[in-house]
Amino acid sequence: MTTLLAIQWRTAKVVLQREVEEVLANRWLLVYAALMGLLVIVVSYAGYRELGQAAFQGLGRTTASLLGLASLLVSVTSLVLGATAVVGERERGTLATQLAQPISWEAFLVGKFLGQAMALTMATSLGLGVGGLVVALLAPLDQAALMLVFLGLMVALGAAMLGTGYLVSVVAGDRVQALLGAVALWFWFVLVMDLVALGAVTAAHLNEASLWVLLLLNPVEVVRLLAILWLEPDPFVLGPLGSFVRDILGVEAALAALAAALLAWIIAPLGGAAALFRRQEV
Amino acid sequence: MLTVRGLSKRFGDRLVLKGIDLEVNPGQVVAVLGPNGAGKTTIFRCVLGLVHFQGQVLVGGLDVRRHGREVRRLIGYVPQSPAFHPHMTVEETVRYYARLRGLDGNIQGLMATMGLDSISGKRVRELSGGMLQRLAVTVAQLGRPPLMLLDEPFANLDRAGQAQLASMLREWQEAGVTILVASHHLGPLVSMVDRALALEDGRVVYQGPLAGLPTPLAMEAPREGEAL
Repeated sequence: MTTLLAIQWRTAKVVLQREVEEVLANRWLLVYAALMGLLVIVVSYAGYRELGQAAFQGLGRTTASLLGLASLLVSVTSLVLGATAVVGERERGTLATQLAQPISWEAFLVGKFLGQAMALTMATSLGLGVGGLVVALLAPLDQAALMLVFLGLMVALGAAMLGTGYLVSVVAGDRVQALLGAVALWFWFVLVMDLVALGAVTAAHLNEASLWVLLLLNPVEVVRLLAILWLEPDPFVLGPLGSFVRDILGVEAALAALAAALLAWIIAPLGGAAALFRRQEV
Repeated sequence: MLTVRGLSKRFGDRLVLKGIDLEVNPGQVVAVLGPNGAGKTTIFRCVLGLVHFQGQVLVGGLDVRRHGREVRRLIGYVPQSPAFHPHMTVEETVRYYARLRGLDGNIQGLMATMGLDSISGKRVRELSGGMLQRLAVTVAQLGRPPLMLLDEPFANLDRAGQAQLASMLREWQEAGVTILVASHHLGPLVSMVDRALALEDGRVVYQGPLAGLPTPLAMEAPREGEAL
């Protein structure tokens, strides 16, 4: 058993290394990092502009303001990257070449996922790091540790969306289908699901437990609430749903429940993708 | 080395393999002949466990459905249209596939034998069809597998490349490697082939010595030295 796991891990590591190199060789991930850095600087500057002053706000306030826009960018990038991962290799013919080797298909998929997640983490860290450095140089250095928490949350959101993208990639017939699926899911998570939840609450008078479930079914919302509860558990920023969660569970229990949900969002879609992938043909 | 019993494969409504039986002993060279769509490539994909099928495939006594990873360790595969990651160099590609097979040894000797040492830094996307084919043959040889599945191995190769590959296959044969070669045209391999398996519309229509092929099928198989 241990030997088998060691072999699986060795395979996953080989695929992981190749994948990191391949993703980092693509310029668009650098564009993503640059956009992330620019976002940090622009949000920091725009924060004080709103107050009528031309200056940069500190890292603590910037992090809170950055949450919405950064979540959008991280989630769309990860979903698209994941959605094209397997189907892209299938279309190129490289999937068959690799799977004709003495490797486990699940180890291949996990290695590919870990490699892409690592490359995404590097790009996110680069963008947030450089942007944060610029802001730290131009504004008071307050609550820099919060930026690290924020980075961790964005990395986790990226991993959850990447795994969801893998699920799309495994079931999609071709790359176009996969991309359409990724974009549709992105809209669902960042826009439609909230509206549906609001509509359901209004129309069906959902109870608290149903609301809680609705919240956990959206990884973007899970990360948003985690970030706010961690960074600034203010009722105005939390919104009615967030306030409800905080009031019912308390901040610490809510943080634990949301973190567990986020972990499930990272593991479950990837597990589903691996289970489907194992049953497929190449 | 290879046992195939009652192998059938369906793609949607279409039955592409219809109860194939085949027994290949160690060291034998078997030519799988037939027109496009006869099922030659599909047999190879079944042997590799890349597709689901009905029937049984044993390689070295191991069932491919139960021991896919172990079975694939025994097989070197040259696909009809080799595909590798386009941004990787030739050397990176060979090294990557060597590591996938759990080999960390020196690959330079093999690359030199295959004439790839002079283009080791070239990216796959810059390779000609012939060079890509050489790369595929190189990758298939990693770990010296005892069973080679070659799908149209002479496609894309010029005369010199064909002669070189034929000579390499003779060396493999002398070393006791079992070879299944699917091709419209066998060219330089004619003298090496121990047995032919002719397929038509997913069925075996002939199995025996190459010389005994029925006339219409023999038209498909070329004479030795014929241009490919």
